[in-house]
Amino acid sequence: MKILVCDDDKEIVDAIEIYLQQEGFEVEKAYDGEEAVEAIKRNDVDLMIIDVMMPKLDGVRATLQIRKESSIPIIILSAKTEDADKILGLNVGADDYMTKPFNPLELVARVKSQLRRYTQLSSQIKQDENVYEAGGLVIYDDLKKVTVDGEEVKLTPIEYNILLHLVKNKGKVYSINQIYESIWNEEAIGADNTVAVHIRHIREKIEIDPKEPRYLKVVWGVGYKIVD
Amino acid sequence: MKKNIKESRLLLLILHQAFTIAMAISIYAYDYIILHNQNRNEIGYLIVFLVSMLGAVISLIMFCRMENIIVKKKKEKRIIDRIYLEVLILGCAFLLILLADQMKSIDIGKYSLAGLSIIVGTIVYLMDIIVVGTLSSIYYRIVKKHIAADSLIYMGWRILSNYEKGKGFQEISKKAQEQAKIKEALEMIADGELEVMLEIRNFHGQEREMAAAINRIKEGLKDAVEARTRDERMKADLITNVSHDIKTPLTSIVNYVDLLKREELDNVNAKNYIRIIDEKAQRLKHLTEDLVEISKISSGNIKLEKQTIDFLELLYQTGGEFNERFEQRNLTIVTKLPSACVMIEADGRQLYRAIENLYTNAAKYALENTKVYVELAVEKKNAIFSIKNISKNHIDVSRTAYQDLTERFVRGEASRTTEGSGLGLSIAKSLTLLMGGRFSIRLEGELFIAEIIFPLANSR
Repeated sequence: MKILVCDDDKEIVDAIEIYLQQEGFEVEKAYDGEEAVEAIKRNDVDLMIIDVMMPKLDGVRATLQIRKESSIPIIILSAKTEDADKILGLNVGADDYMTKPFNPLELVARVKSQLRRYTQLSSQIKQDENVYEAGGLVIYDDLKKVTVDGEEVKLTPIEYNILLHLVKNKGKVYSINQIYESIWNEEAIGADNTVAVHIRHIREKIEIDPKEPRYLKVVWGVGYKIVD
Repeated sequence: MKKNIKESRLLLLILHQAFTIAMAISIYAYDYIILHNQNRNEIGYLIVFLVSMLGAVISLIMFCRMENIIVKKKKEKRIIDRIYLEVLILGCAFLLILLADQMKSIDIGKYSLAGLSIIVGTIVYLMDIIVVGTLSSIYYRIVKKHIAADSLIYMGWRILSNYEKGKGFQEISKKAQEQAKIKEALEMIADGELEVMLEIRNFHGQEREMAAAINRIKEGLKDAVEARTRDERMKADLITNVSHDIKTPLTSIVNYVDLLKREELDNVNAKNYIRIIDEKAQRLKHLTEDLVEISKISSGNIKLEKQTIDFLELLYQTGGEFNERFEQRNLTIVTKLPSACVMIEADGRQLYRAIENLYTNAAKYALENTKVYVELAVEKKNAIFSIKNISKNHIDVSRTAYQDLTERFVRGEASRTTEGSGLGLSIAKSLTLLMGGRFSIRLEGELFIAEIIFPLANSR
């Protein structure tokens, strides 16, 4: 697998190279947007990690250009943390957005997750009756198995039931009491933290960054929901 | 039209006086009958008397209505005024007679009741003519604005009209009108409304100077507010830009320290040094993130998505996020929460960030093995959230007033050894205020108390 890393800061590119090489990836390097576009044309790249603020051609414009020809996963890596920046990045065609300074292990996890999703897209999961999915999150209810981007996740029975309930009703927000009542099958008298703690545990297992969940979203003051 | 009104006013006035005269005559006649007619057939005369009285009252009311059209004052009020006036005149007449009796200029005992009535009636009639005439002329002059604002008559009016709380008369005088405008403008400025502009040429004399001064004050204030907003924004931009520039080298530090940690190092000291660099780099990272956050919030550069949310649900959710962090430091959370929903209007995500900062604060600074009290109460249409903990470091109130703790970078301890940026409380406060809530912290003995108050959402 070949990964293109593009940042105008040479040391950052080198550090990412070390981490990716340790995981067995081949790394192609570029130091501005133009180089990145060139590199994509020249090489057979499987995934690109690109910075936003760069000389000549910035990451957002480069992503726009690359998207015209290629559908490889693109992860934007930027010091800009504003929601507006993230939305812009994702809108021009990036698949993921990470902010600097980043945790290198998280970056590797995201790279792997993107690659798994990308390769899996071609070999669609066969649509069984008891398979539920939300984005890269798949629940095989017959096998009581949960995978995230193809990798299996171990959940306790209660965690599994809560997740299944939410995935089955994708997009709908459930309050703590509603979740309690449907999982424990009894009326919630004086709710407590139990459900919230389970939810956090699930998030820690299925999300790369539990504080910025992709699938199991917290709607503060309302409840929880699963999104694609 | 105006002429018509004037004519009918005159007509009504004459009508009123005619009926009053009729009333007086009927009293005279009645008295005559009582004295000279043995048959004492009073009823016919009583009817005459009542009819004339009714006529007088009706014509009076009509007259008042006419005045209302001219003065544009509430009809009921003017009629009540006139009734007061008549009663006053009647009272005066009686007093006059009593006075005369007292001074021995007349002897009431000599007169019959009817005779007395005649005297009273006459006095009332005369006084009525004088008072109504005077008032009419004053009315006329006020309407035509032929009256000075500092004259006794006008001041009398003011007292009367203030007594009624009517604004009618304030509108009458130009001076008063201008003063009212100035007052209104001042009140608007005091309320922070800086778009008012007084039209100088509509003002005269002293009022013109005042209006001009108010305009200058407003301009000055507006400039100051705008400059402040601009400065805050520039400061926020500066902080954001600087922090971007800091983040790039910081990324390399974090990454290479991590790589260094993976190297096989025999030297114990070296390992320790790396650990320290790692810790400090992480702290620097949090600091820059918090810094961007607080500058964004305080410059109002943040978009709120307000909706009706359940404060109680949010607290359970927060509790779920924090239970292990509290357990790690052996802190027991004691909660006192209502059993039903507590709906408020807020941006759930931002409110969580405010609450999260308070929980983090408690988790970080509370004395180990103690209790942390979390409470949500509903009082007078307000939801009151409070979190109390015993601080592990003594908070020195004399060094800095504890309200300063919500100022940026101020912490309860003098040294800055603990992790954290010192921005937590400041962020919590700014976010709460931004969403229309109230935020306060205080000390009660050993207890550090943080409180967030939101008005309840309209319960429907």
